[in-house]
Amino acid sequence: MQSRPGHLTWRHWLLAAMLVGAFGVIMVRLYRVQVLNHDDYLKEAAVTRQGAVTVPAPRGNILDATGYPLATSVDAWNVYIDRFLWRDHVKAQQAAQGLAAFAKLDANKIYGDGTGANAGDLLVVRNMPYEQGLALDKLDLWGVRLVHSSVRTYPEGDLGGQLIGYVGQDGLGLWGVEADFDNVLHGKDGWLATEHDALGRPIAFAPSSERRAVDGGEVQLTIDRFMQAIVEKALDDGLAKYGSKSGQIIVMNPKTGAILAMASRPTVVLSKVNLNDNKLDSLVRNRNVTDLYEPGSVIKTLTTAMAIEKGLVNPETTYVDTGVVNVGGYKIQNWDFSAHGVTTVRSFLQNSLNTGAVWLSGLIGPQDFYKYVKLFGLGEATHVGLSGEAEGTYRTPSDQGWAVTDLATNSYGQGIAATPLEVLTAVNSIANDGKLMRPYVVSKIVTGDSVRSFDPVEVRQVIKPETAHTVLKLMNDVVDGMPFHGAQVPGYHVAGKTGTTLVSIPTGYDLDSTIASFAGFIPYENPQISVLIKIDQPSGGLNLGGQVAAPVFSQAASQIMAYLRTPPSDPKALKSLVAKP
Amino acid sequence: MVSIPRLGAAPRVASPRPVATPRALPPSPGSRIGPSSGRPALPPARDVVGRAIPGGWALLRQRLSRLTVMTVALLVVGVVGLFQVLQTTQVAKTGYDVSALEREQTSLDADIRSLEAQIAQTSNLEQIRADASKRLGMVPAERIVHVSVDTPSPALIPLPRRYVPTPDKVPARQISWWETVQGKIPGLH
Repeated sequence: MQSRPGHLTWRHWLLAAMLVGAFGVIMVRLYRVQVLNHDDYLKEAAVTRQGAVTVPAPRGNILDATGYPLATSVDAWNVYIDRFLWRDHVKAQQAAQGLAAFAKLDANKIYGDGTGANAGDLLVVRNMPYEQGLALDKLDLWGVRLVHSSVRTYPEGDLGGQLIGYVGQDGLGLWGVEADFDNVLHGKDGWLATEHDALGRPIAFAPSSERRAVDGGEVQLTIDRFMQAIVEKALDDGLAKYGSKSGQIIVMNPKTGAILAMASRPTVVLSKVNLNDNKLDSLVRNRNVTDLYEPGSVIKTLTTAMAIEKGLVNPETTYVDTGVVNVGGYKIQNWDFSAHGVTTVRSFLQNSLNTGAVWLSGLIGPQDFYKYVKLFGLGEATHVGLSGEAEGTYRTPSDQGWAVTDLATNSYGQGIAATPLEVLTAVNSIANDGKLMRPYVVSKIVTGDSVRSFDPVEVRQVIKPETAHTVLKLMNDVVDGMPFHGAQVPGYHVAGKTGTTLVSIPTGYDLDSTIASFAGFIPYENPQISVLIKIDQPSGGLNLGGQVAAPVFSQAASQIMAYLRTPPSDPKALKSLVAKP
Repeated sequence: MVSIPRLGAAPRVASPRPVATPRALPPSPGSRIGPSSGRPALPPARDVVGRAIPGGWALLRQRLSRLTVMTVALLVVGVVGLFQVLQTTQVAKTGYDVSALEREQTSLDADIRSLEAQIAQTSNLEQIRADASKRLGMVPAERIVHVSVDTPSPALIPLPRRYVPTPDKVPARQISWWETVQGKIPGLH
């Protein structure tokens, strides 16, 4: 049978239908791939072809007040083996030998680890020095990759370990300023995305995209490393000498609230940090801001200030000290069980008589007493900017369980709890014309082109300047007016007050344990620094503030005065240099 | 002999309506001369044997052979292509240079950080103490003597980083219109 030209048989139609059908199937598939699932396939393709490398941002420095880097970062490399490429065992063997010779490693172990699996990267060397990494890169070892990393270093070693803090392997701050200002220091990591071939090598002309890393900012502290070293040495010496395991010390500028040095023991050793140590939490705690204690007789300065501010007494006002006072059915005695008879306010403070403080608190009255306690900042956070800050605590007449004995004991620093920083901040107002300043430890933050400076902040005027001057003079009489006072510094006039309290335990007080402390200013005429020292449970036979903490003040203060080149108070100690003609 | 008036010449005789010249220039290709123009269509110019004389585009087409046209066209395409290749090469080379400079900058930044850390390390208190006692033979002072002089004390020496002058920022270069155009040509960016 012959088909006529131009005549379409059913076979033609069938063939045409099959072609159209096949074409239609292809079109439907294309529509699904190209239109409906376009984004999904695009991502899949990108994952296959493109590789993104994180470019770590250099972490910012932590500087001391003089600009010295207390914490800084240096560049390094992490060396990885690409196990996918090391499936080629001949090349892997050569690379392992080359890498082992370069990095002084065991070639067999590297080869074994690198060929133990067929995929994934294996970290071989962490934080290889930067220059060494560049040299390794030039060797072009098969399947050996270097990824940029950073190492945190602390040039001053263990100095200020609790305050400065530490950075974990993930580059984040773990405690201290490193953690509290991590958002400033960390910067912003960048990334670089390029297309790679099947072996993971970048394709030269393929499009690439990148986001530049933003360097971390710098945090400048008010801490002076020289003073920090002085006070840490003095504290360590004091603890060793008086048989104590823990203690704190703070040095501040009383007129600005700037913290110049701050240390607490026990402490962490930055060069030997063991992140798996169960005691690490207690070692890294900056107890100057996190722990409360009963300040003891240091509070008598505040009680005296309240009474003078209200016009109730002056330094020569007298009371009769019988050695014991009955308050609410309880007997309150002087710390040495002594009785001094007719005693002036000056003498009460010099001898640190509990009976005198109880007498003054009775004159002041509970309402005004607690009003001033609050004005001095006790019971509230200082907002120093360090994490974990505790707020002091005490009972007021509006609290349940308050009794008149609370007022009496609070007047000499028992039954009231505060952090060392709270106490020194409150006492500082006496040396600052009655103005309470907010303590601060960060003076400047530099991020990119912006510089943020932190200026001193006056919280409030607590007492009149005249009152402050009077109390400051009384504090001077406490130190310089008492022969052989442990806090005296040759050549300088000192103002201060000791404190000794019993250690609080769940059942009351441990009569055999004390907390010895001293708060003082130097030089008295124009205080440059204020210092608070607290030594817990001294066990060497001496356990009073005047015996244990005051000498530590003397040691630290004399060195700080020399460092600050502060002229001595006593003109006899100043020799004039006469130039010869 | 046909006289052809000069174009733009003013009529010698003042007349309310200029008289059309009997023989005008052959119309240029594309020009519309017809009834709608208000003037009669002009016949094409002819040579002595009566053949039409081509003008304008037709003349060019007659004189240039197809081979010539194609050669010129290929040459143009080749030059443009070469230009693009050269541009691409230049861009790639510049890209490599930029990349190398960026690597160098990264390396130098790392060197700066490393050197700063070394300086800090060598000027830490422990090192100062060791240098003072071992190298210079100094001992801690047992007695401090304060001396009054009429000269201010020297300022504390800042650390090296503070010495490093901050380079002046160079304002970003303005992109010219030509570079903008270049950027829009496919293959050049």
